Amino acid sequence: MSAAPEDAPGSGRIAAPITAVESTESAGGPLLRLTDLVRQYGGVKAVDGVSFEIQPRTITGIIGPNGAGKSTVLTVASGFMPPTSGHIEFDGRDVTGLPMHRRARLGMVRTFQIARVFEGLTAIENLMVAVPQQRSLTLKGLVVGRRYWRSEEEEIQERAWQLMKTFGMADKANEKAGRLSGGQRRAVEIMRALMMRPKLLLVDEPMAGLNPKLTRELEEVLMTLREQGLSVLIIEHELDTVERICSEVLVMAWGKVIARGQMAELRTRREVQDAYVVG
Amino acid sequence: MANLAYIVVIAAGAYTYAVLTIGPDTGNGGFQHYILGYQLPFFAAVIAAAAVGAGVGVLIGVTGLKRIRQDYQAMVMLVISIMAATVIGAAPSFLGGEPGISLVPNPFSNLSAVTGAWAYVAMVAFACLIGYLVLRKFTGGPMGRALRAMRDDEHAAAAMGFSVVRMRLLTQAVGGAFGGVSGALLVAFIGGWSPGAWAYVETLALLTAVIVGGMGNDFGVTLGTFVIAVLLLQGVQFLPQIRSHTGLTEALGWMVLGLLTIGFLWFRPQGVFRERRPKYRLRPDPTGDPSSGALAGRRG
Amino acid sequence: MHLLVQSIGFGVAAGAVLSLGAVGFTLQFGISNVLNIAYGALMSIGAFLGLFMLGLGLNIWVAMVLGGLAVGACSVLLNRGLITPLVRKGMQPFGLVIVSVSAGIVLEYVIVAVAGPATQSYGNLSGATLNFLGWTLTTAQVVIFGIAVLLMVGLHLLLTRTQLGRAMRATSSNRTLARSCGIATSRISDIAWFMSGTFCGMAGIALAITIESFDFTLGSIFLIPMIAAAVLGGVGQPYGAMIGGLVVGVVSSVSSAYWDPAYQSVVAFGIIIVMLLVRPRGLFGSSSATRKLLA
Repeated sequence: MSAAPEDAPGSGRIAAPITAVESTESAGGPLLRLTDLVRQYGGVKAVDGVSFEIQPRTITGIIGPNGAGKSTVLTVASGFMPPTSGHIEFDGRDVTGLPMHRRARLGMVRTFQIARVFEGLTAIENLMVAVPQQRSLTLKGLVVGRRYWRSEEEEIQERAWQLMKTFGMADKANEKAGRLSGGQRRAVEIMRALMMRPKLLLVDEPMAGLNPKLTRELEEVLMTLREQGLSVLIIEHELDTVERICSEVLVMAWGKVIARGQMAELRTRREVQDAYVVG
Repeated sequence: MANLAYIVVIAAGAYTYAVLTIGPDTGNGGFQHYILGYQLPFFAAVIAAAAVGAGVGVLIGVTGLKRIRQDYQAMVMLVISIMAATVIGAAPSFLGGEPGISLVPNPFSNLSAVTGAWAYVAMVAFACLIGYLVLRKFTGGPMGRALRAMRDDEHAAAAMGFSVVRMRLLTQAVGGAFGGVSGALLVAFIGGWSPGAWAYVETLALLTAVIVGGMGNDFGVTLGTFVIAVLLLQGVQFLPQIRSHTGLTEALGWMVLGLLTIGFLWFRPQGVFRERRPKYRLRPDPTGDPSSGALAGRRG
Repeated sequence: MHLLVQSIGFGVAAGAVLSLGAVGFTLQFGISNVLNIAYGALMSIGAFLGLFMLGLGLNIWVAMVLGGLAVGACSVLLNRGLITPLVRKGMQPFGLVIVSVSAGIVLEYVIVAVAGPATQSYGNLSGATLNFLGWTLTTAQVVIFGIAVLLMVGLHLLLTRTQLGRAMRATSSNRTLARSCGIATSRISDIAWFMSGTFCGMAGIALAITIESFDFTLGSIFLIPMIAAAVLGGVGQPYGAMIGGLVVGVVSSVSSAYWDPAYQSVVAFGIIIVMLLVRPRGLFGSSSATRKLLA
């Protein structure tokens, strides 16, 4: 079942489900802004005063040695846990105190380091469920019934199928997600995030465990999405991947951002090399 | 997760129905004491029982929001149900205390015994039908999908923009309303209610019904309840009493119930009827072969 | 004031039995990580075994030891025959609670089937009344208190001074690690279940001695304050359970002296719910125990 080049994601067909990404022209400013973010575990500062901005339509990478606080930044930014101090602004709005599901509805969607799928649901159900404000889940939807939400449900199903086909997983649509392989789970998780039409995708090592070919294909997907208006914050170990897709890269070590810039340039910087060697 | 304190909800419905339909406690020589005593009509009392059940369900659900280990949560639920029975039993003037409330009016008291019994059966069947239809709204279609997703992974569901708290309390409220109505119907039939009627072992009976029927299947749960309630708990009464051992037949009933639960969890944890999964058919698509592409065909 | 002193005295006496039961409960949980709700039923079995042995003319204290050992054997059987196989099958903690609830109910009704549902009594075994520090206690209460103290000290020495005790503590804090260090964790589990059952059976008989009458629900009623004691001390922590037992004993005894005794058990309920929801690690729990408890 190898993919012919013209079928690979990113070769144009991906356009259909994503064109609906909402534009973020509203403020003209950065999409995400973290200010002096601190997160302590017990006495340890996992994140120690991190500030940065993410512009619309960019892919920003975070690299750094293990334990540098990369995942914590992402976890705090997504609202999975609160910061000890500091502020998070998204799309011109302070979201520091908002719970994760509210941020998700605003368009900031995360995936998990170990892909989390709804194992009891089929692959396509995993996608279809990811529209939290669908009419069928409202009180009116329950009372009025199918005729209130049928057309929306059909549209959701249509979009889910489009994504499944784009990712080449249509034949797995009715498979229970719990039976999928690691790579397929990851694909389901990313598709599920895309179903929400996010403005910003927060992804934690999405390439981990994927073979080089799949890695390249996922890179293509992310870059296509960026052209369509999506921003991505990605934690990634594989520096070649980071170099290929990220317009800006943050280097973290000991809970701080120690360098930022383009990957090609960062590779030559002394403090970056030190962090990797020492860290 | 199954709510091990569900019996409390049923009891709340039963008490609500009882104190709303019965006359003031000064009647009948004032031998029993309880609050209210409004002599409301049947349907009003059933609706009130549903509302109270929903409220109690939500209250119990709130304790379940704290994220502690499943087995701890199970223990909290068991303790809540035992505690509720103890407190009600210890307060003699609130809901009748340990002796409970008796002489609750039967809605079919003006019919003959046999006709009344059949009318009751018809009413329960009707209530089950309504209940099944309402339940379908929640377990079928997109709502069921969302609830199952939340059951699988709450964090991931929250990352998808679902308010886990709201949905949990919603399901508790709906479940509570069901429990309230069933309690009301039960007390309307048996005419009395006391803490002894909703002890710890009764919780097991409910659990057995759910486990045997199949946790994810509405039909299975309904059938399981019927089989457990009718065959086991009532059926043992028709076995010949063994004279030397009073209570032996009842004991056998409970033992069978416990063994049945363990047996099902051991050999067939999914219950008699499996959870059904909807299939979504692929629509014809002009853009080409759907199975080709990046991540297709890889098996873990 | 006299009422307060007296109720504290009763509380300590009741607390000794509670501690005994709670330590057994928590010891087994700490090592096998399974909440054994059937513990209450095992306790009732102990009480009924004691009754049977009294009927055979045995001395009550001999019966207490023998009964304890017999319940210990039952406890191992329960683990080997039911709990361990299900854990191996991958059953989740919630399922195991349901299984142990069911097993407990089956065992309770086995008692009913054998001995009948009637209320039983050991007769008056309390002996002479002793006055001590302004407390009025029966000889039996004092002896039970002494036995409890002896068992606790013995347990303490076992856990801290012997190779077995070290292996038990290692298994309790990290089972996988312990196994990779060459500790036969399944044997440690058996020993823990046996000791837990022994404590349980002895507590059951001690309880039956101190209260006037009992029936097959003795253990499941007493399970609530026992769990309260274990939870208060931090589940899985024997020393916590010892102190927890005394605290719960004294608090419920004092509260029933000043408040409606009908609400006595409510105190225990309240302790369980508040502790589990607010501070699940227990009053003396460490944070490693907390990690174990939080999902």
